Amino acid sequence: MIHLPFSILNFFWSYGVGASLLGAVGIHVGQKARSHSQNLVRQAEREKKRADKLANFVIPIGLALAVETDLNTLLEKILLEAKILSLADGGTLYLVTPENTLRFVMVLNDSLKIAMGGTSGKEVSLPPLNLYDPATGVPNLHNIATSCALDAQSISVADVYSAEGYDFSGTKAFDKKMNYRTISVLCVPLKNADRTVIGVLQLINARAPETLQVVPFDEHLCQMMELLGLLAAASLASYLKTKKLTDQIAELKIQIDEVKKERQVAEITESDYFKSLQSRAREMRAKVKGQNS
Amino acid sequence: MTANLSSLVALAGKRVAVVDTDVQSPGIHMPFGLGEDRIEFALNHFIWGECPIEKAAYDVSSALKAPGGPIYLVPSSMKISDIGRILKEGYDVRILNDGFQALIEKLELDYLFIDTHPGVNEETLLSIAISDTLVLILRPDQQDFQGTAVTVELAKKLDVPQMLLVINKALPSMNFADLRAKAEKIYDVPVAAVLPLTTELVQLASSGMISLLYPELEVSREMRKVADQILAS
Repeated sequence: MIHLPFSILNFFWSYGVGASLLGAVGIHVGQKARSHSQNLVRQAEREKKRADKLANFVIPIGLALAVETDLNTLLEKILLEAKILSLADGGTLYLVTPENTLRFVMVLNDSLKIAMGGTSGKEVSLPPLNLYDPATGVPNLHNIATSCALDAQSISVADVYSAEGYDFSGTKAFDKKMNYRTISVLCVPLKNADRTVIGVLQLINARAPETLQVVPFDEHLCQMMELLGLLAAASLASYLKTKKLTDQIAELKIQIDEVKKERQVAEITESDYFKSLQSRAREMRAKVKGQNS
Repeated sequence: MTANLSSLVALAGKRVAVVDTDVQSPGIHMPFGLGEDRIEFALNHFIWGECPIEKAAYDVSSALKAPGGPIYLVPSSMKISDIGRILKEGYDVRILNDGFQALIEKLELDYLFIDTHPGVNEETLLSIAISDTLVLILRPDQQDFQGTAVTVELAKKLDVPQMLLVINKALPSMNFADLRAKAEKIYDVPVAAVLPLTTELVQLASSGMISLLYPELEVSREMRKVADQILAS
């Protein structure tokens, strides 16, 4: 058996067909090499596209977000730009609330023609997600979005229906009801400069640029989304800070330091100049009053 | 502000004069369009005994662009040497009082507006002491809130018959009614107006009078309210 190949080879050599067999083998090897090099070329092209996307989209988006002064437009821009970059069919933007929940602030789905929140004028009717179990206080790590917020880590799931570790029953029920198929999901935390998570960007069903087939969110796309997430979080944090400041100005408190005031008033009223001015002013006013009466 | 209020009072047919006692940083000549080249004598020269006060009073009625009572302006000198001299030598502020009285008499004034340097100094105190109405202008910030509290207290001790607060440069995002109510409560002084910060005001800077150029603006309407209260006193 060990000799068999040689025997066969000898056989073919003997019959003058060896060349064609080798040729065939050679062709096979060449296809593999070419396929490999084509893959490398494609990979390089993809990398270049991503670098271009980074330079041409992510950074300008970051700048556009930074100057946005309307919250609804800002939220919409964050989600829309993330969707465009990843060619995702859908997306949700959540914000962490002081009550430790993730509030849906915007939901988009192109295939289902869903647009809620942002500038759509439609309120997001979905209830918030608890970050912790209200009864036990246990962190909610079953839900992909809350888990992402709690761990401050991106989570990418290639196929919701074969994934383990997260509870996608809600997603599946949604799919059934809407006749939709959620496949790939990516959750990116929106982290402040101090690493606090202020929101979660969730994208659904990334699509390949060439075929528009639903594909998983690959590592590079995740990195790009994380970068966008950082810029989005910085813009949101800046907006919220400005808003807080504006609210403080709007509810301006008039606070007088009474001790300081008394001291300042005393410094002046105890001066000889003021005492003399005060008595002269009284005389003058009394005189004017006398003239007028 | 003083330029606008005095002009509105003059437009009501009153004989008005404005004295710029802000010798350190004179500026009211700007909205009245009184050029430096026209000024031969200023308040400084009266203080130094170089001229009677009426010689330093300039008729600026043309700035009203409409018929009204005459309006005069006694500017402070804009010359650096004069500003330097008055700051260095100082002066007896009682001279000012004599000047004000003489001006009222000579020009037969109904109203004399005294524009002071921001804050409290001897001139300001004198001006407060001899005034019938004190209009205190403040910006809605903590520094001005504190400073106003001191000035209001001093004015009360000087028995000023009428005091009005004008909140200037209020941001449009502020709740004006709330601001007015809070200020009236804390100072126990009526707020005659809350003037919003407007683009026109910023663009105009000191080159003209907003209440005359843009009478339809809220800021101008509010200024008229202040003028009406002065006229009613």
